[in-house]
Amino acid sequence: MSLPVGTFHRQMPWLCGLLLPALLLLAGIGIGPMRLDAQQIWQGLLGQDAGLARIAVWELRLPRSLLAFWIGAMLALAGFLMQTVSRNPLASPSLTGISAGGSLAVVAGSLLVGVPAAGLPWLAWLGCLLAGALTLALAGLRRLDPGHVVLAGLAVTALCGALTSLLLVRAQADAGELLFWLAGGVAGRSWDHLSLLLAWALLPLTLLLLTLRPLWLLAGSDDSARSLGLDPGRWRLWFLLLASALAAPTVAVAGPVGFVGLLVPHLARRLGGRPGGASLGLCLPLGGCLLLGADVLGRLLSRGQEVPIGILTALMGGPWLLWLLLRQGGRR
Amino acid sequence: MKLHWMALSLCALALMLGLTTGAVGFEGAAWLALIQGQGSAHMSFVVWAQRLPRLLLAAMVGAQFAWAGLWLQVLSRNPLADAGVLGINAGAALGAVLALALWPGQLPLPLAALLGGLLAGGLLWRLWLGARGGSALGLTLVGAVLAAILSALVMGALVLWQQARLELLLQWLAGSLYGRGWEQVWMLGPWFGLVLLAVWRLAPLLPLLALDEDKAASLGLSLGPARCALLAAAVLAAASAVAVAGPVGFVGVLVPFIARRLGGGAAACGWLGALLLMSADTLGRVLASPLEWPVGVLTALLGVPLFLYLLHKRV
Repeated sequence: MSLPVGTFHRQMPWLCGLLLPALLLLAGIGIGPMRLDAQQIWQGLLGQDAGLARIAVWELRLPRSLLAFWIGAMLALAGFLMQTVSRNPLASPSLTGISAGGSLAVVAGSLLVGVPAAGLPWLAWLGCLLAGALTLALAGLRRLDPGHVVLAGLAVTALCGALTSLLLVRAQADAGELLFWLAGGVAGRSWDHLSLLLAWALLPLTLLLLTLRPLWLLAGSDDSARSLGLDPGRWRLWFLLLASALAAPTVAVAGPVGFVGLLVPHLARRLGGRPGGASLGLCLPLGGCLLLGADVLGRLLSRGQEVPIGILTALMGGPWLLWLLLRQGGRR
Repeated sequence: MKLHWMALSLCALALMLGLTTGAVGFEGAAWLALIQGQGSAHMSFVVWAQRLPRLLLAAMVGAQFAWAGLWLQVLSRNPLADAGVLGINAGAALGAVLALALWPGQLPLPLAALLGGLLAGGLLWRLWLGARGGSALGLTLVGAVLAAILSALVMGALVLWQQARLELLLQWLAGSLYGRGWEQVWMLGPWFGLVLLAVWRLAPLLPLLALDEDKAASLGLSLGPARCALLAAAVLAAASAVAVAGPVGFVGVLVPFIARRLGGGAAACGWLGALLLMSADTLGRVLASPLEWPVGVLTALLGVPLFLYLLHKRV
């Protein structure tokens, strides 16, 4: 006698939400240049072992793993918001030039002005907003056509990339470090970075929870939203602002990480149904697990140098994105 | 014919301008002595061993990227296409950087870049077949997304390479001719010859490919092999150029656009490409002296606005 399908679907959120992150977190703590077995992890967590294991767990791996999880979650949420309100299945921080604008702002701030770490998310947000505005302006009247937006976004990314290269030329000595940051990743990030990220995430998340109803109304059609008394243009702008406020601190802390904000909302909608509370909620654990998994994989596959997280997210998200494009093209 | 002589003299002018400008300045009398073969050892080195091969390389690379762009635009039937935009540059760069990172010195760079470029070209071909019936813009979009994916991989590969020298990193990120000398000229030479051959042999095909599928079928022509040949030639031109100069983008968008305005074809593209890149390289050396701006950055700064303008026009 087989279990009815309904049971699995009801338990899926618990699987995603609790079990998978916990498993990955354990893997994140155990895997690295120095492998830790279960007992060492336990002792390291409790702080009983006064040696390398404790340092590895508390100073290095736990903050970085938690950070990877949260960055994935926030990027996924940002992508979900962008895709829902612009009804563009290709919208995401990386494809619309937002990430590139944020990283340009951070590079410019650190190199030209010497902005301290706490100020970087502000700069990143400014960069994200400017790049996003530029992309929308350049997509022009066709701003709701996914293809046009993505092409404009890619041009804005190329422009930001060129300007970033110019800044790197001026930097000379710090180039290697900056390049590592530009590839995206959580290596060497500490509790300070995590607290900065969480502090920044608090306000946008709260505002999002307070304005969920307009989000679902906007997910329908502009006319139905208008008939219920909402101004679609203004609310769309609001949610795009929230999305960039979620993406910006991730860029400031971990550099531009691509494809997570694109891929995860699709998975979440697959599992959770039409844009609604379930799919929104699923974005968090799915995005977190994806990025944490990529980070763990990068450490697992390392041959002296960790495989950068950007390669793994591109390999995971890329083929999916191409398939998505082809499916879209067939429908036109 | 007159056009060719004019173009040649313009290129010669650009060459002379490039030879005489740079981080190190020389006086008029020194130039006179150099021409007579009595220049100082230092000056001879800078002019003949550094600037001259670099400018020749710029000319060849510029022409190759321009031709690749022309062929890709004919294939995708819109002026937005170029080897960088469609991901062929990124594929070639990925091949080259992986070869440098994992098997240094064992694989000749143009070959590694060619393999990467063929991979990207093959994927593009497969995706275009899958998107059959899509608009010209749709074809460009597919290529642009492929470019984004491959660029992310190149970025990661650069980190894996653990290269600390900024100039090399920038070369593979943006495209630059820093430190390129006679070795690279000889490396690219044979490939340039092959590309010239391709330009000559493919010239009669270009007007044919401008026909759409139905007209061609009614004339009894099969366009498939011709399209394949054109894509392969574009990959050859772009990938070998990327092997020596990195992924210089937007040349294939800028040059065919200007060539069309001037009423020229493939030959005009070649001359203009050479002219553009020689000037951009010289400009990059002058603007931030003694540092240099990578030539790929300058072409991007020029090319992105044009790209956006062309995108805007296609309503």
